Amino acid sequence: MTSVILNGILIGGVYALLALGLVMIYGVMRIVNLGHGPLVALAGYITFSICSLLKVDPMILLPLNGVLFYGLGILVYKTLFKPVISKSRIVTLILTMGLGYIIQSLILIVWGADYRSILTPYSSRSITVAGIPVSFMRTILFLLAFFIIVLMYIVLNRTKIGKAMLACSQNLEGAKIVGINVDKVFEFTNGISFAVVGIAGTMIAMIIVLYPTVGDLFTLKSFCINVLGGLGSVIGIPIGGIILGLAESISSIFLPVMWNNGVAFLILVLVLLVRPTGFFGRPENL
Amino acid sequence: MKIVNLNSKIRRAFLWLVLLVLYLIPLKTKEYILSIFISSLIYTGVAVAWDIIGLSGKTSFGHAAFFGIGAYTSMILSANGVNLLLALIVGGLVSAFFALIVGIPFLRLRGPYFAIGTLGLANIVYILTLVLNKWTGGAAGFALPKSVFIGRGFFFYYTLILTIVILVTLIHYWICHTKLGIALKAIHDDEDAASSVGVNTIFYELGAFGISAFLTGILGAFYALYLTYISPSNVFSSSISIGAVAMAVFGGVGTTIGPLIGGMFLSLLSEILRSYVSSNFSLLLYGIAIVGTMLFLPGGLISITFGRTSKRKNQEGVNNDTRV
Repeated sequence: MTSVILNGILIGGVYALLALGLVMIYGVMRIVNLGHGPLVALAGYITFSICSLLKVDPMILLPLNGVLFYGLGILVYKTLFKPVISKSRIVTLILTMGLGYIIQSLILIVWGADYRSILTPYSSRSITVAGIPVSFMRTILFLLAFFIIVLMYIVLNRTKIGKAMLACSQNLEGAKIVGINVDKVFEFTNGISFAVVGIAGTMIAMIIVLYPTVGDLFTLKSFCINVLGGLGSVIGIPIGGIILGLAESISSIFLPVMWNNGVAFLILVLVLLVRPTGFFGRPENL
Repeated sequence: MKIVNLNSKIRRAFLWLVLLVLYLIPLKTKEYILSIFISSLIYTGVAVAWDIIGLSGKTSFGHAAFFGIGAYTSMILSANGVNLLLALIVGGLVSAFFALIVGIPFLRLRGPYFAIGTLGLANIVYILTLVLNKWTGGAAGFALPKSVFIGRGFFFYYTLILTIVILVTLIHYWICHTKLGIALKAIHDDEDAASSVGVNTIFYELGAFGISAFLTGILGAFYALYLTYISPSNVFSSSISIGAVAMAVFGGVGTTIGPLIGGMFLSLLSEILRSYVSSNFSLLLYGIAIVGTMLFLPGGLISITFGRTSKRKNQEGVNNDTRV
């Protein structure tokens, strides 16, 4: 039982990183990126292909996918998000959903419908922390995810571009007035958020089995975390991630396997109905 | 004035002609072509039904839930000897009932929250059908016993689905021109303002949601009885939810003719891709249609033809004009 709880917390850290990419795009640009999950799946599939072709360790792909997805983020911002950013939220919502399905069908066309998983020599190794056995892989990924989240905090709070991002998220008009180049900030935000998504996708591909529609699951899990923490709140993300990780692993003891993925949806729907702005979010009229 | 009358007369005559041609199509067509028409008519119908709740500005990404509920209800009823028409209607009613129950809490949500909520809802219903395998057959699916559907040909199914889609379109048109449609448009423009001038927003939204789910449920029921085999991954697939959004958006949300044209065009194209290339490309087509429309023509196809006559466009670029 304690081992289950600990493993839940560990996967929660990876979930938190997963949700971070979504929350930054929403927080700064007010775009709800429904193409989020398929992007995560895409990163996973790229990792799978390179690992099985070149026989390299998937850990090497973490920075590589980060850079690759940074470029993809800039490209997507310039071609897709920039023209619609001033339009209504429904337009951007439907646009990102379309983007998601383009990615999903490309995955189907390129990789086929088979289940794929990435195996490393240390995939099934476990270590003992204070007398409790936990998965070695999950521990490493948790620490890495934690490191990246802390890094993002530092970028947001200590660097010039990070402060500009915060300014845009707090008051876009005000940010424009004080002379912030909003376009450049948005471009950077999208790039860095996609980079985080790419890294998170690479991580999650080492833990779970990939299939083409797995992206929907990631979108919903990320949203679940975001509504738990409050859409647009960076502080709530790790808490939301760990709550979801715990809920999933604890429910796996009591409920049949089929329900495992349903837990995230149930939490999502319940939180939306009880407290639509989440537990850490700003009350906002959407 | 005279010109307007003449115009509307020509338009009316043209409509009747189109209807006649549509009903006469099966006399001269191969069964295989007919089956493509039947499938695309189903999806077109879902797109028009989707747009009924779309009128209020709420974007549902979970219409596959209502489609699937209708499909399973009619399947279970038919397997127990209920006749086709009753199975269709009860399928729709169960869907509508479900929509009314979940609508009370869900319709309070707005914008992205409603969209994500419905997406989650469809997934919960999907999991429920897997769990309730005693009645639904679980992941293996549900096949209709052969004795139930024997003697029904493509001609029968084509005529039936064409009639259903025409009825769905007429209901959409009728809603646009009643108090319900006006209320929905007011909610679309500004929900708080509508509420503050005395529009009972939740009542009208619930009504639209229920009607939309009822019609989607009937179409799902037809889909099940026509294919005689359904599985959860089939009726709850994202190509239903996403297809409906893609078609309505491509044609033009908030108009009767928009989803109809968008639906016919996209679903025919996707059915042709499905049968001649691969079903993977139909999802790609929906994605590209959505992204392309949102980037270049947010009002949909309809905004080209009616662009000059409809001056009432809001800043979102969604066509407010509900005239056909």
